Amino acid sequence: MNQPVIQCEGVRKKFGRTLVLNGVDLNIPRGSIVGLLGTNGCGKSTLIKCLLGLLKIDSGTATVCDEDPWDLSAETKNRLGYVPQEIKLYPWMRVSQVIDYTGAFYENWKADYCEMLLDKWELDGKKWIKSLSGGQLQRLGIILALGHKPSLLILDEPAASLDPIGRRSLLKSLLEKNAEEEQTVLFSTHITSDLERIASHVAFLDRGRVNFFGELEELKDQVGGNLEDLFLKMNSRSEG
Amino acid sequence: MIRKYILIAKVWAYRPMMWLLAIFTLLIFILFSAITHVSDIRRAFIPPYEYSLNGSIKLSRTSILSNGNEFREFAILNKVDPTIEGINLTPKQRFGRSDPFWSLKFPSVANQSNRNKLDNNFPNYEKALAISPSVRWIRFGKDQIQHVSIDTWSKLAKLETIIINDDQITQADIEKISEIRNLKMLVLESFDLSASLAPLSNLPKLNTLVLLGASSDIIEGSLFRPEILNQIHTLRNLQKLILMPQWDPTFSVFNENNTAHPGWPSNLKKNVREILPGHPTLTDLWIGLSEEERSFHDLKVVQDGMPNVKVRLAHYNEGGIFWASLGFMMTTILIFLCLHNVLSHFSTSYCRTIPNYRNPHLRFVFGFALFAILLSTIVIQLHESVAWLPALVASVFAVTLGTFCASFKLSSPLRAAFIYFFSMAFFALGPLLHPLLIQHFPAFAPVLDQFLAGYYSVLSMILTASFLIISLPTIYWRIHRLSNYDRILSETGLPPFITVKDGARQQEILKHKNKGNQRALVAWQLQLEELKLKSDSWIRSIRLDWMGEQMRPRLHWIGFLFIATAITFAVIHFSSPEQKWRIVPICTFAFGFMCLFNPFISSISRQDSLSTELLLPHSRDRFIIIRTLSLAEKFSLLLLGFFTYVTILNYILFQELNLKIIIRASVLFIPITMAGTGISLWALSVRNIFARGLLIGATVTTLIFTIWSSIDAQRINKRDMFDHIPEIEFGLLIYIVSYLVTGFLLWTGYQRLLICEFDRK
Repeated sequence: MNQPVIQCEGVRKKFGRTLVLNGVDLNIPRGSIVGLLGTNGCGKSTLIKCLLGLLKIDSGTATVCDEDPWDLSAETKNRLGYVPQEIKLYPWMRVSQVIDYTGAFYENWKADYCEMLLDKWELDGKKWIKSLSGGQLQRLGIILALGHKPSLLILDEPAASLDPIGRRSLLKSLLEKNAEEEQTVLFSTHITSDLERIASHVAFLDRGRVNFFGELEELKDQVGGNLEDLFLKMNSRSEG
Repeated sequence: MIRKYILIAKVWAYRPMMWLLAIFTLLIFILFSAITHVSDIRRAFIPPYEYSLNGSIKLSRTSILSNGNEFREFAILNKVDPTIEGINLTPKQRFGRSDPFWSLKFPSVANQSNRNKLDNNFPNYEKALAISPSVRWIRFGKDQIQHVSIDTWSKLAKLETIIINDDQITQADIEKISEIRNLKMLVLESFDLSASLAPLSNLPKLNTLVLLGASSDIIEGSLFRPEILNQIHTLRNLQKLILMPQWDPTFSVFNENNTAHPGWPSNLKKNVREILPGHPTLTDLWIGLSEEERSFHDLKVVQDGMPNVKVRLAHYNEGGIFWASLGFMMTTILIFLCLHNVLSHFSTSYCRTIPNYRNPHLRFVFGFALFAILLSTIVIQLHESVAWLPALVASVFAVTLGTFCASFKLSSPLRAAFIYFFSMAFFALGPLLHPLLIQHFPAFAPVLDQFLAGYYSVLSMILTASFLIISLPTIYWRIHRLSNYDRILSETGLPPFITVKDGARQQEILKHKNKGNQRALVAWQLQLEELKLKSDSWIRSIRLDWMGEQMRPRLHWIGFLFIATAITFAVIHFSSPEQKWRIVPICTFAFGFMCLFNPFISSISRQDSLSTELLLPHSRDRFIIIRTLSLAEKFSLLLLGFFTYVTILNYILFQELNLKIIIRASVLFIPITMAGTGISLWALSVRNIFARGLLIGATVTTLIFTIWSSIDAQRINKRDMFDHIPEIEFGLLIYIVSYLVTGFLLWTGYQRLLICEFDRK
């Protein structure tokens, strides 16, 4: 946990006249599991999209694996996995086709590992993408993000559509990967129990700024009680 | 209560798609009204003889001498096919443009003086005529009939129709005709009939007489002068009479002011009314009127004077039929699209959970359907030759059909692909219906024109009443079914239909309900495995990009449309050779449309997956270059097929294939490819619906450019079909401009995509 994988300094992003990110400062250390916490519309997804180059930062600087997020190289993308909030895949393909097709782009695609995850999460490879439920689609999105064993995994509310079993299984997988391969994970959520279960660090995003960033234990020590209380407390403070 | 409906209307009006639809419809109407105005061609189609101005008798089911080779054999070798039933001996037919024989084999014959020499050899034809026992009709040119002997007439036992096309018909010609005892129909096409028709009264079977001429009754020798009408009155067995004067600008020499005589051809109407009544056997009269006298009501004066004769116009107004069919088609499409728009109101569960949601919406839609009927009726009857009642019939029918199509899709979403095929085929093949109607059902067109003009008002009223009685409850019932859309969606696992893109997604999903594409799937997987083994390269990346949409159903639809167009072309080409001049531009249009729209549409539908694809392991620059090259390759392959089609067509029709044509096609090929790619790149990066509308406008412009260029490459006489479109001269300047403009479009599209935020809403 030395050199930060993701660095943000004064990142700002506007949509028209609405300022969504208002000077985000954030350094995510290698090998950490960072939970990005915040209310709806506080800018979690926008920050993630800016870090992936899907949106352009208006001002400030950011790096992902020491590269400008707007123009990430093929090497960096080979080490990057992303699970969007809304999975948009090709509805005219089957599950196994999407996995095969995505795998064709990566140098180190682990087809066996994907097979194993398919079995584990009870996904039928012959099913059409369109026939998958929201939770199944989310699982497939996670499989696609993990298939090349990325060293940096970014997940935008990955557990939102998952049932408790799926959520537990996903969190377990993330913990295992982190322990085995020092994978860095950044995930946004507002399910504080998930965060408590696996996060090593927490970043609290409020009104376009990171109000708090630090180790989970440190945060708990500072405020006392569990994260949900903290979430409510920080929210009421910002509302006040 | 009213406030509720105003609110529903506002929600509709807020949808940009509705506005685009309205603008699109308005533009189409303006464009086509301009075209219709110009293409108000008058023809005569007189059932059952199918006699037309431009080509004598249409006897498509009979065998005729149709090309130079046959005529050569006929005249020089006296070889006659015994099944030949009709012979057109006018020089235009024998040396016409459609007949490449003479110009290819005997270039000297193309020379006018040489043609005249051949005409002077008419006795050869006469000899051949004598050995053509099955001939039923002959069309003679200048002075030809004089060479036919009585002996020859006696050998032509089946001959029943004579057509004479000559600038002057003399008494000797009429005498000659009166020798044909079996003659049933006589057609005189001339400027000058300086003869008496009295000898024709000796023909016992002559029941039909056609007088066609660029003539005026102020001119001595006119075909329509009172004297001739008096002679017609003496033809005791005449049942059908066609009087069709045509205004010829050359007659202006007879007038000082360069215009038609003010009495022309109104005098014809007056003379007919005065002279022909009381004819003992006449049952049908077709009469041509002036440009100003378009309405069938103008015939009323004649009809009133001849109550026992059925009086009809000798021409009909193509423009009216074209306009009404266009209005019908547009209304059907419009109501179909509007009802699709309505589906979004019923596609979510809110329509059940919000109290009093459904019924006001249903009433609003029903009201909209009635409004559409009213609006469509007004628009259709705007054309001067379409009356109110027939316009109402067409509108009610169009709205009913549109509603049926939309609600059929609803009640059976699994068959949505079929409906899509049907709609697209209807749209693509629609322009062919008009020439097909004229070609194969020529008797129907004038009747339809009369119907549209309000000639059959009782029938129109019965039809309107029947349609309204049947349609209104049906429309209400079908629309009522729309309110169950959310339930049908949840039962079939489809996403709700909120935007146009949702509709496309539904189509893609529904397509996979059928399991017939296993083979395609296996082929796709094999191709992917093969690519996986290859090392990274640009070609590999482009092929991978292609594979991302290879299984897309839309490609199959495009394939279907290609096949449908090709089959239509083949059917018309081989069954109706006369119509090939008309269908080539239409088929070219259909092909061009598909070539340009396929990549454009697939670009838009891949917009959603751009963010996912960007994060695959390639840099932004490389990703955009790959996408650009992939699009350009797709375009170039489609356009290559398109230009090959044009070249082959050119060869089939004109037996012409030279380097110039290939160079011209190649030079055009590049800017069109660049334009298509540039527009598609812009389509990928633009999210705003109005900007997309502009892009569609640009695409249509490119399309028109493609069609123009291809029609020009095919050397088709644009004056036939595109009289209203100014000609483009394909000089160096236009090539330079097209390269610069399309290059700019491509470059800006590429640059725009480079800075595009793929996940911006």
